[in-house]
Amino acid sequence: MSSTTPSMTAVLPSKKTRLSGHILAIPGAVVALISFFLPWLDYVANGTVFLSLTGREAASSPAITTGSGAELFRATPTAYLVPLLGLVVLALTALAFWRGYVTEWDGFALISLGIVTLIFVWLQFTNAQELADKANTAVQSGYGLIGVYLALLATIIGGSLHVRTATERKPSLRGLLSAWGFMSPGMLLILVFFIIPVIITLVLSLTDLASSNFSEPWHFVGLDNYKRMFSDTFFPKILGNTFRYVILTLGFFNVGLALVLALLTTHISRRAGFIFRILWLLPRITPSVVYIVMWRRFVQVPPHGIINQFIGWFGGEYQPYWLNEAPWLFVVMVNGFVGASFGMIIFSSAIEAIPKDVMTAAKVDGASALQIIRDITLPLLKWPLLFVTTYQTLSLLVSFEYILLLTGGGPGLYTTEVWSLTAYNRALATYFGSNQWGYGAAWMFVLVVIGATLATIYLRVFRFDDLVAEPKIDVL
Amino acid sequence: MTTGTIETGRKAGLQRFLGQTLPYILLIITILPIIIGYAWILIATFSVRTEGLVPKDANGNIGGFTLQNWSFLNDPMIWRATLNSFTIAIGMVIGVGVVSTLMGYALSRMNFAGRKGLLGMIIVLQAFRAEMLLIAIFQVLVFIAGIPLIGKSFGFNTVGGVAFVMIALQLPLGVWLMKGFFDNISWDMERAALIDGASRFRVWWEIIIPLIKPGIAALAIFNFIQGWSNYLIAATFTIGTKVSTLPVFLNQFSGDTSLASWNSVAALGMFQLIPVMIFFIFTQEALLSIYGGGAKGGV
Amino acid sequence: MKVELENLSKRWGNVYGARGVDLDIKDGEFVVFLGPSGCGKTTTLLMVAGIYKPSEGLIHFDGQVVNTVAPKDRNIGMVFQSYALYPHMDVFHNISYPLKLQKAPKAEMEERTQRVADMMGIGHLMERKPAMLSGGQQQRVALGRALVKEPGLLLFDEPLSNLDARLRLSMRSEIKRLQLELGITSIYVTHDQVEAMTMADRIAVMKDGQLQAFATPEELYDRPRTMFIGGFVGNPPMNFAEVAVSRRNDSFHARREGLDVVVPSDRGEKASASDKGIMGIRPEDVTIADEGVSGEVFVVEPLGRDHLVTVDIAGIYVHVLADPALGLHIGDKVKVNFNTSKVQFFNPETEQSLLWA
Repeated sequence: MSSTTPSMTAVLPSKKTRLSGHILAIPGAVVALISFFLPWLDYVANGTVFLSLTGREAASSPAITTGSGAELFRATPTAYLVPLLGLVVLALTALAFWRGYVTEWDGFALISLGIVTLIFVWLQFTNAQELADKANTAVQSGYGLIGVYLALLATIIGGSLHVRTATERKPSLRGLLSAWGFMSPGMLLILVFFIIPVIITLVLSLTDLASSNFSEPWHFVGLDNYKRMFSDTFFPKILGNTFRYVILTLGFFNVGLALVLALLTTHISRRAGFIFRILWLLPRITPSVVYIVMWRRFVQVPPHGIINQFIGWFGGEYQPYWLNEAPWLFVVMVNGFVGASFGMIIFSSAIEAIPKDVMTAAKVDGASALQIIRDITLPLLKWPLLFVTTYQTLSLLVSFEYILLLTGGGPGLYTTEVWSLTAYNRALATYFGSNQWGYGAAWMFVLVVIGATLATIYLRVFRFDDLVAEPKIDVL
Repeated sequence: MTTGTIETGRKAGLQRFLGQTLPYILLIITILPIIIGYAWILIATFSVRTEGLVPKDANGNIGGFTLQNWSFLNDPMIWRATLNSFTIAIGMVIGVGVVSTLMGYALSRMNFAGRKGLLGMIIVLQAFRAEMLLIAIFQVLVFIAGIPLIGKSFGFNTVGGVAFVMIALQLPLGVWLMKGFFDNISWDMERAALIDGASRFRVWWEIIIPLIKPGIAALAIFNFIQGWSNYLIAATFTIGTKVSTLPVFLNQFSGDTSLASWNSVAALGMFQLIPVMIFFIFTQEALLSIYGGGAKGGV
Repeated sequence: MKVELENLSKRWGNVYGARGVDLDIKDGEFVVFLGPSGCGKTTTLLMVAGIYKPSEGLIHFDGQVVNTVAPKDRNIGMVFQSYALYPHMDVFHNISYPLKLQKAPKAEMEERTQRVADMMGIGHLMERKPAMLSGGQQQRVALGRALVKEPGLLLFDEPLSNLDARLRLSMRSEIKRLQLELGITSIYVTHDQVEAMTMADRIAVMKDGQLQAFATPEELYDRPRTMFIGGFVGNPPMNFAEVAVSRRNDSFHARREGLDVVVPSDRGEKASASDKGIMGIRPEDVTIADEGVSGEVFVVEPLGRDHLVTVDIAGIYVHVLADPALGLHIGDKVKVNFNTSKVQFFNPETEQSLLWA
């Protein structure tokens, strides 16, 4: 055993030393709180609270009263205090880590703090003025969000104080770097493009940020956006549209047609069933724009429209522009033809998993095809049905790409505009004249809340814990 | 077993029809709109005009085969857009491939604190569709655009920025799928490699990755199609033709073109469909399992 | 290498995989972990390998605690039931993989790999992929891979279970010979008590995560400390019957309905300390004879060399190894004789031996 590392110890750290490791992580929490509150307090209290923290000198500086949050931040000693504190935390946590006192979570905090500190230092010493001019709102959100991130980390560290039993997992630097090394690229992306956006959506929904006042500081407006949303003249219409869209598409296509297709394709020969299922993938993999071009061609007036051509062949006289004639029919169909394949795949693999013996026994007992479906197949499809229904409800609730491309919410005023499309149009569609990010975010945040709630329930219902097996290797 | 002992020929014929022929008829009727849509693209691409599905020449007679619709290939803009789309698609293949094989491995096979919570998060995020967060991601991209150096290639209105957003939004599904592939690898083999002296990273790279190559290939194809086809993200986060992708370009083009000359729109659509169709024809089974695979194991 | 396990436990939530295992393995010893499936023997082995982290307790290699040492730094080799070969590498790369990871010079790597492969008799198969090898050949490759880095400790996790019976027999003796030759300390996990008896210097019998006994095969066989060991070690398994042992005149009698046998006084005296006891006797220590306890043949199972005869003695079934020449049939009335010098007694409540406390 010559290769045995000399640093290895038989004795695990005592409670006291472990606690000291955690205490070393506390400055992290302090940094988090400071960096979180400073930029925001500027706006909330118009500088006064801020001044009491940083002293009189800063108060006389003109930048404080007139500048943006970022300038304000840079103009005070705090700007240099934060990275300094960060470096201290870095050193202390590293020390605790080196001596083997800390757990994985603390170590994660260490790495994250290091990264955040570097960002801070960098921001101080690069030309942040240019940055502030370009997108001062974004910079402000950025500072605040870094703060939020740090606060989250502090919470995690605090949480780790009582969860760990040190005898079970004595972390090693190598082990830690191993697991989080694998996780970190993905976690970074998820942080930047999921977690932070969720927080931004919430914060934005409480502000009046819009392109009409892009150059000025924005303000917190409390729940004004939500009040405005619920008192919107078209609110009942949009709400009704959303229900109609979700229920019709789900009922007729994503679950209804999907189930029919699954039953049919498993009933016929295996090879043919496979071919039909593959064909049903076509709408899903066709680029959305191309797919919509096809559908627009279907509904055109003569002589271009395909539907009208068929009507003509059968001698029909009435050949209108179908998208205006029956917009909902086409909104549901366009989405449904894409959506049906998901349920079809899930259902047909569930049907194929039904033991052949059960089917044979039923046939021997004299059951007809329909009786077999009613009495055997459908009861066994209970869970897949529930799964597809919940999952697709959520997807439909937030999806609007095909509606945007097909009708853009028209024809006329809000005829086919659903909730998520409203949010998109308010915030990002340029033809409404003004990009009302704050107002749009309020619409969007409602969906985020619904989505998070449904998803949580859904994890419970499908007993997520049972499905996630423990890895059979402990060592990292 | 009391029924069915005596059957008339007529009844048996009806039953055969109901059991054998009717499913085919139903399946064909339901798939018809898709087939017709594709047929129109194919016909329109190579004809001067179409009325409904019927190709017409300039005088209104049936016929009129032409390659004129493909003249857009001379437009340098289209090649710019193609390059952008291709860059994004390849970025997706590499980005999602690398990140989700790393993350999927850790979530499937490493016993670290927080693993279960993160797995739950991955599933929840799959249900959180991209559309929900566009407003906030817009702000994030504007913020990134303000950062020196990085902002120029990955901020708002850059191909890199669009690619990163798409990679991130595709991650939950990618990670979940890769986790499924890793779950099926033998534990003993990984144990053997660890005892032989490999680090977890080397086990991942030298032992496990070679064994799930088919899975990685399937994910790559899926991501290529996603990146190549996506309209919404590219349209939302880019302004102007320099950074526009093929779908954005096509949407613009179809809006600007009069109905009578939509045959060139069809040709452009066809151009966009070519790589998708190639993958579709050669990798059907993989695609089918991927599109249903987000639900592996009932979640 | 000396291996010492001190109060070793592995717990998942409230479920124990192994509980309080104490073992002391000498340098060069061949130790077998024996027990039924789910008894914690593989869990313990994986803790020794460093794959599982112990929930409690310490592992010492040569006196040093290795709890926090990574598997790759423990200087061990391991052979798995499923062979666990790398399917995308040929035999040469499979065997040389540990050397590659040690960054051994190329020439040395080739030389050592070839030597180990020749030793295992697979030197001519170097370019084959595992899928092109038979089960026996695959296990030889796995063994070669475990040996090539000249480990201080060899671990075997039921390495022969996937092989057919004949191959198992020859591999068994080959592993044993190899271990003696190389003198590497070895831990071998199996549920097959024949393998354990034939290969082990000492056997650690496990049940429900706990160590039942740690002794030489002879001691386990002749002096089982618990009923579980008595029943698990030895094939066909030991017969048990509840009896009362008492002294009458100068001899000790074990009695129950239809049964009254005289037992040697040293054993009888210890057994009679408890009012009731479970008598255990192995089938080979029971014979069909002219004199003895009467019974009726219930089943006859030919084993080849012997017949395993189940005799019904007043409601209890006793297994007897009998000469096929006797030509016994179901329903025959027979007399059986007990070789009482090998008889065992256990406490019915604790199932501990009354003889070998």
